[in-house]
Amino acid sequence: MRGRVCILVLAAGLSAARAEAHAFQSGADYYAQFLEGAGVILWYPETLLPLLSLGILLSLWHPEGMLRAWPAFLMGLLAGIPLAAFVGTWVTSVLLIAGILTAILAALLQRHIRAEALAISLSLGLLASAASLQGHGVLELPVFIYVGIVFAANMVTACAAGIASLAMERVEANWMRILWRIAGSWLAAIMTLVFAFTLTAT
Amino acid sequence: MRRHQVAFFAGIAAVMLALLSTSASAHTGEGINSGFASGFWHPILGWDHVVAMVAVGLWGAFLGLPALWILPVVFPLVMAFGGALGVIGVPVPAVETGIALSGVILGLLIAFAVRAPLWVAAVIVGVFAVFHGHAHGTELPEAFNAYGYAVGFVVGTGLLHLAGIGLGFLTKSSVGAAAVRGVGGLIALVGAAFLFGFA
Repeated sequence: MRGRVCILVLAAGLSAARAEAHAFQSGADYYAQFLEGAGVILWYPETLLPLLSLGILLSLWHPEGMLRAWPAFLMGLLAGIPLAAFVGTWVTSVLLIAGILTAILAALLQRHIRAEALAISLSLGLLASAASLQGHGVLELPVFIYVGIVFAANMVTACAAGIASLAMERVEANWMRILWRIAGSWLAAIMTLVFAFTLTAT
Repeated sequence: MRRHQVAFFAGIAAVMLALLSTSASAHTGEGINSGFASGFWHPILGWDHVVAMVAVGLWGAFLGLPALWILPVVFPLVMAFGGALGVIGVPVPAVETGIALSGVILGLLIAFAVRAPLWVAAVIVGVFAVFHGHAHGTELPEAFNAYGYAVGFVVGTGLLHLAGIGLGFLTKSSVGAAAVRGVGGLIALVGAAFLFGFA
């Protein structure tokens, strides 16, 4: 029984239909494939903004928050790749809602705990790669597209976390921390509006 | 921060406000041909919005920490919720009245230096934020980039709050506090002008 289920799951994963959101079209050029994958993270607010929020939250949690949460984030990203075959366009909305919650937590909570940071890193990693690859089966696309997505997701989150950490390290005054919490509230506000736009677009 | 530095930053904030604000008729965003610019100038080019946003920062400065930063954090969050309601077409009653009332009430709270508990202040600011957000959400020009509009709208609103907080630092001195209370009275008058149809 378990074997049949595994075969069905595998078949569903490999035969999943192409997503409408990101129909990857690059040819045999590895660099073009990499750029196309990275572009899905960088040029779409639905994926970019939640990851920026995650970076800020991790820096507000701990000066080395990104380093500490990186394994969970990577695990999420990798787990999202096979999950992408089973999700529809709704996953983008779920990612945006998760991003809004992350930004609200970053803005409103004075202190963050390890479990919260790790759980959010894992969830956002999972949702970001699933949303970027929605509808595509495992290894249905050229490998460098996956590399581009994973690279860009890590770069965006690490850059946000790095800039926030550096700023709070250089200026230890409380107002700098407040400034990053305000940035979190602005991100949450922008994502709320983007979410409304996606609702009206469908 | 020394007193002269406070006065310097407050002065810059005041000049910025004076330069950026024009009559409410410019508020439609006509002639602005990109999503970001349209969203950015939308809250800045209407006195009814400007006075309320600045009032949030000013009142926060009057209430002191942590209200100083909690109110400007709460406002964009709730305003975006109101904006989302406007974008998806959920009606909110008496939006323009609510916007005008926000100027009157926030102005009076500053003028009388009312020190409300933090949660009361957050609720008052949050309720008014829904009206301001809804107005912007329904007025989104369809031809423009929605994402750019969202970013510009939030940044423009946030900068107005920061201008209010900058002016609010005047409350560190007794003369400055009196001036800020006077500004609160002016804000209430501007709100009343919109409320009774004089503007």
